[in-house]
Amino acid sequence: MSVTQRALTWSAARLAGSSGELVRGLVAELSVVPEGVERRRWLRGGLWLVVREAGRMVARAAGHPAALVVGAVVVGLDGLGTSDDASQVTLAALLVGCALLGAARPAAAVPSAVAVGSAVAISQLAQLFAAAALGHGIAPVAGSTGVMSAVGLFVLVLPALLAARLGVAARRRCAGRTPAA
Amino acid sequence: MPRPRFASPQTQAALTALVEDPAGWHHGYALSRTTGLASGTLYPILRRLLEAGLVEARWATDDEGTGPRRHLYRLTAEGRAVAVARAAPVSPWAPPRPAQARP
Repeated sequence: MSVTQRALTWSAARLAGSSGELVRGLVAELSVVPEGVERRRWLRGGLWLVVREAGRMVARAAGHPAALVVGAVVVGLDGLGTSDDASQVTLAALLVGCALLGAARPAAAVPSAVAVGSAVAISQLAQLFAAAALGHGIAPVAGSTGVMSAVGLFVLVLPALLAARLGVAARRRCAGRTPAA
Repeated sequence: MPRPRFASPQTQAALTALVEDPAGWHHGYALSRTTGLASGTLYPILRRLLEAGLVEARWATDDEGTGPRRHLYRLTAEGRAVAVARAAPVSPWAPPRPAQARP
């Protein structure tokens, strides 16, 4: 089994709902797709499908009111905070918000965390490009206001994912302790 | 003027392939071969058709003798109506047919 096929099978098992069903259907067809160019094309298409479906899930999760509120709070704190502790406060809000989202909607924990974790980076990129469009210039190199710096903020997706997983785990733990009615 | 839904050439090609055997269940790879669409194009089309209720899907049962379980797709009654109304006579995405041998 090739690396691509392994990645596709792994992704298919993790995508939820109709998206996962669709990707599993594509993977199942590999039993009849001939080896060679045809198979490689089929696998490439499968990976593209996984990316599209994952993007749809993130977009859907980002549109959920709870995720919108958490994302807005995080972006707001990042933009308005002026104290030395502003970054820590933003990170704390991100972690708490993602943990709550994970606990509230375990099935959408991962896409919600990706959406909220990307919010600050997307907001800063939007500001930079808006400034460039308005003729205020743009700094393409690393720096406090540069594109690279904004792109680097996508790293916040990682703690967001971790917090969401902890939220899911906490909910399962609580559910396990709840006595049966 | 808004573009009508399911009017893209690729979607029409998928509908045309499905309506060729309207009551039959179709495999994804067979549809890809018939339409000439890559899997990354065909499956998002199938998802949109599924969400719109124009296509239904199921997993082949083990006793159908198709080897490993595969996902099957079929037009619904509504899908058949749309496909008949919109189906293109010749799909522009179909692979070229082999040339006829000249006498």
